[in-house]
Amino acid sequence: MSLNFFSYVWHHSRREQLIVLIFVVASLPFYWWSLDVPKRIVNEAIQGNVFKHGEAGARLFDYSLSLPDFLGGATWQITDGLLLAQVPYLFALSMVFLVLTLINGWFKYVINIRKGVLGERMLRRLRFELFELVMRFRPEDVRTTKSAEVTSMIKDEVEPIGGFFGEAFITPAFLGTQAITAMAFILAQNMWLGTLSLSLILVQGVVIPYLRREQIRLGRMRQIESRRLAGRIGEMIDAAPALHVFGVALYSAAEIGQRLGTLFHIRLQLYRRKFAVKFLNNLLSQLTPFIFYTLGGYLALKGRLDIGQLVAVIAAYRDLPGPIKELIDWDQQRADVTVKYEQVVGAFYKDTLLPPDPVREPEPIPRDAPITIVGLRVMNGRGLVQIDRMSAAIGRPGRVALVGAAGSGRDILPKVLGRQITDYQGSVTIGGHEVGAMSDREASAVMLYASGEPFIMSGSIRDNLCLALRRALPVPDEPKDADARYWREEALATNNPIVSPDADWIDYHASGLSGPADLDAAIIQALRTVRGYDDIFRVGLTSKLGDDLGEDLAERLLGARGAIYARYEQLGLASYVETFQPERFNANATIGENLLFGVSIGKRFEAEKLAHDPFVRSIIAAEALVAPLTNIGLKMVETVAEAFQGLAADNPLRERYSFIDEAELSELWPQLQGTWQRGQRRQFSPELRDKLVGYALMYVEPRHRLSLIDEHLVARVLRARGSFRDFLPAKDAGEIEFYDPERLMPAATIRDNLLFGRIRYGKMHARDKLLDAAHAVLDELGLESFVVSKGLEQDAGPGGRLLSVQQRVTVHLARALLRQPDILILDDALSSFGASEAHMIMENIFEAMAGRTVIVAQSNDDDLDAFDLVLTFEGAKLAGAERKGSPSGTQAQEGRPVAPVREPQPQEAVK
Amino acid sequence: MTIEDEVRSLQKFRMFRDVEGAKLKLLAMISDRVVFQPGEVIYAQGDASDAVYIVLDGQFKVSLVTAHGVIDFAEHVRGVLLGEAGVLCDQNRMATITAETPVVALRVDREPFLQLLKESRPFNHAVVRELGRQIMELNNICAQLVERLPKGTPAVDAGHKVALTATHEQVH
Repeated sequence: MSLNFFSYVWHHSRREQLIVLIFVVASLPFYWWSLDVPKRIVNEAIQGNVFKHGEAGARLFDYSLSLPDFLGGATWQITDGLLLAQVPYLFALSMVFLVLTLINGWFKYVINIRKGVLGERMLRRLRFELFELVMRFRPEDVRTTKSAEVTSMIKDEVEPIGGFFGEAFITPAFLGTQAITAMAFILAQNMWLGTLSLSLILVQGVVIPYLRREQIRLGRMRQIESRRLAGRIGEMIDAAPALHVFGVALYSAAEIGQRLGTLFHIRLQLYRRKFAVKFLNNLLSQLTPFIFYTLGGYLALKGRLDIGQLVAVIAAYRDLPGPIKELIDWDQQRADVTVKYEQVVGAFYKDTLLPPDPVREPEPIPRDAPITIVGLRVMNGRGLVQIDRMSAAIGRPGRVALVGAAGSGRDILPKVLGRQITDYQGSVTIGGHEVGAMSDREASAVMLYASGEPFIMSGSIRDNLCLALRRALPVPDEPKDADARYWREEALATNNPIVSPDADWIDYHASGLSGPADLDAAIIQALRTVRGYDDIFRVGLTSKLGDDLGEDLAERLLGARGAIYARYEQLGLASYVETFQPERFNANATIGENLLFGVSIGKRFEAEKLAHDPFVRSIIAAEALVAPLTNIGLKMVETVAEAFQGLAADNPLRERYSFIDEAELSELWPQLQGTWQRGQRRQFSPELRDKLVGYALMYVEPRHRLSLIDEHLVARVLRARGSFRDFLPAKDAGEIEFYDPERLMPAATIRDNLLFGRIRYGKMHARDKLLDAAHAVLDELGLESFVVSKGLEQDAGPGGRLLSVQQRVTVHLARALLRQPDILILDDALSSFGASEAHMIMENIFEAMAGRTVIVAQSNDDDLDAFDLVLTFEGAKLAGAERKGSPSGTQAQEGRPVAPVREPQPQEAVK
Repeated sequence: MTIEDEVRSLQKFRMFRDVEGAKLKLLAMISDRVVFQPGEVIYAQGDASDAVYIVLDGQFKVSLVTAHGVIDFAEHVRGVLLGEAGVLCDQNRMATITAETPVVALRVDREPFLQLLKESRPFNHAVVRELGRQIMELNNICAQLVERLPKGTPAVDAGHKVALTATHEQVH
């Protein structure tokens, strides 16, 4: 990518630029004529110069072609033209003028459009190239790059450059020739006036750019400052939770305020400059007509200049400052844009970039090619040695443990192997290929690095799982229609990829799959390996059933409800579930659920809003439930206020009463106490009462255990349930789906649809047993994959924010395993699991990776029995390499003598 | 049985004598009351340590799965805290606990339990004290066992583990 703006533009758009230039040149004669015609209208038609001698008519449109004298001076008459009287003559010339105006307008239109398209194309190309460059930054450079700054550069800063692409060559050509034409015209009319205005223009052309130099400097400052602002704001938003924790919002606000102040100051200076220059510019332009009027008028009065000429000169001049001014503007813009361009491209220009992906598939590296490390030395940015002259040979396949304290070489080596650190001395090769110099494509074909920081992108869980698989090279579709052709041609014109992201990018072959049909099974297998399958299954169970089921599926799910219940009876688990029955109060559901006896479809009957709904309120009042519910709510608030005293608002211990908001409570509490002091316990304000009733509707006796439900209340709630159903206005019927054993509820979760009841509290392991049994039944009915696919469809949220930490790591690991890499590098990837869980996952991974290589960073006290090779680090030094017989029977290692504890010198270690 | 009753039961335990009433209420509020019938397994060796039990009433049996079969380690055990070691050390259950009489317990999930330890210093002390008491009791048991051995028996190997590390399959 060229650092010079003009060579970049010329290189990528010369064809287009030339085409537009041809248009520009073609437009010039018309422009000349459009200047010439007004003169003739005034002189010949209005003042009647051609009719002076009493002619009845004058000839118009008579064109002849004559050769210059030195070629013989022959003349050919092309047309004889028309003989016209004065008035028709005037009209004819005016019509010519109109036509010329239209032609000029058309030229302007075409040129502008072409320029715009050209600019947009170049902008697309530039943005894409910049993005490609960022993607080729070395990991070290990426870490020091602020994403918001890059975003601001690619998105905003190049925008004005985009507008200028079209102007780069065409505008000076167009305006320049126009100005020269106009200038030549003026000169042709009158030497004096011409020279005079020319000299004024020259003054303008010299003084103003000089004045603008400061403006450019300020502009550059503004650009850098606003980029920093963007970076800082992005950083602060990312760190907002921490800033809240530290309570330093004011400090950060002060910093942003100051940055805005600096920016304001720069902009203010910029405006002052800009308008000062504009003022001067205008003044100089106005000065010329002043000369024309005085001097030209004088000459005309003296008879040295005819009036028509003067009018034409003034008309030409009126057009002249336009091009000249624009030309000066162009020059200003040029300076501005080239600075911007160099700034942006320079910021993207690093000494070393990762090699671009090769066009052809690189040679695969054999599965048993060893990893050879010779004299590896890694220093961090501050010159601290992180790995000191290390040499080792890692045979493949094998299970390799890197052991040491946190921060020692065991944390660094996996990053070198996984190409997270590419700036090292010495050599690290796999099958003769230097790791740091491999292209992504080459490296990702042989190995996969997984850190403890999972990168989850927005999209569904399935999208995230398949992300690592999307490395096929799909053949671009042949465009089917004009629209597709247009998309493809535009992409080609700007060097953008022509394959749509919607194409099937999944490389089935590399992951040992035969095609899309195998994918689900492979995903399930990978999830099982990292012990995340049950979790996803549960996510699936708790996701909404939805109403896009086929009839057959719906039938089977309804069947599963019965089958699961039968299984529970059979296993003696039936008493663990309290099913929904129209005539009975479900003690394990909230009072609100008991009242509604259905699933809210819209927003109206959502649990939190229930107490505020006029219809629900009227039902509660009609069944005399207000007082008892208020009492329940009151008791809950009292309990919460006592027990949660001094707990932070987001303390996880509040979870069970999370519906009583801390902020709300602190607002409520004084009101309650005030009411008590006035001795009017029964007389709460309506809002307060609604709140308390709202809490009461969330009450579940066995969960909250405040002993607040008696048979009177139960009877009243059941009555209210009946009247709710009976009196529900017909227009609200779509807001709720009543429980019905014979029907599915699309708005409820799959679990609720299958259990059709609530799991009883107070039975140990009930939930697990019930879900396991349900799982087994679903399995038998072939509905498991439906539930899992529902789970996989769940949205992960931006950065995976909708997933738990564990789920994120699980997805991260599962997608690594889905790829089935020859070498899997786990750099602290299991750190968020408990020790025993991590151990079990590790065993599963070993099993899944049998015959391939796993490299794991372990801490000192982990169990190392399962590994074939243990590299021990003490600080930056490799302190020992222990080869073990392979306990798991990895054939390649068997029978090998145990290597000496200390790794031999480099020379010996290389093959 | 309401939270109030549970708080009263908790207050009767010596280990909680210094914990303020509000925190005991909090403990009751974040827990589930569970009942185990005689013979019902409270948790099995090798299970994930997902919760701590505060036994309000009942007796239980502790057994170990070893290479030589199942050893019933201790019977008629009465204890207040159950399963806290596994939660604190992030280890799977080291033994199987089976109810002998109906056992009524408060089940506190792992996370809330750890959170409560951070939240309340007296509660933290109570747990530490209880752990200390358990160690002293175990020392006493071990001393009694050693006394029964013939003279000259070598000291036990602290690194040797008797309990089988139950794998996932064995749990189900």
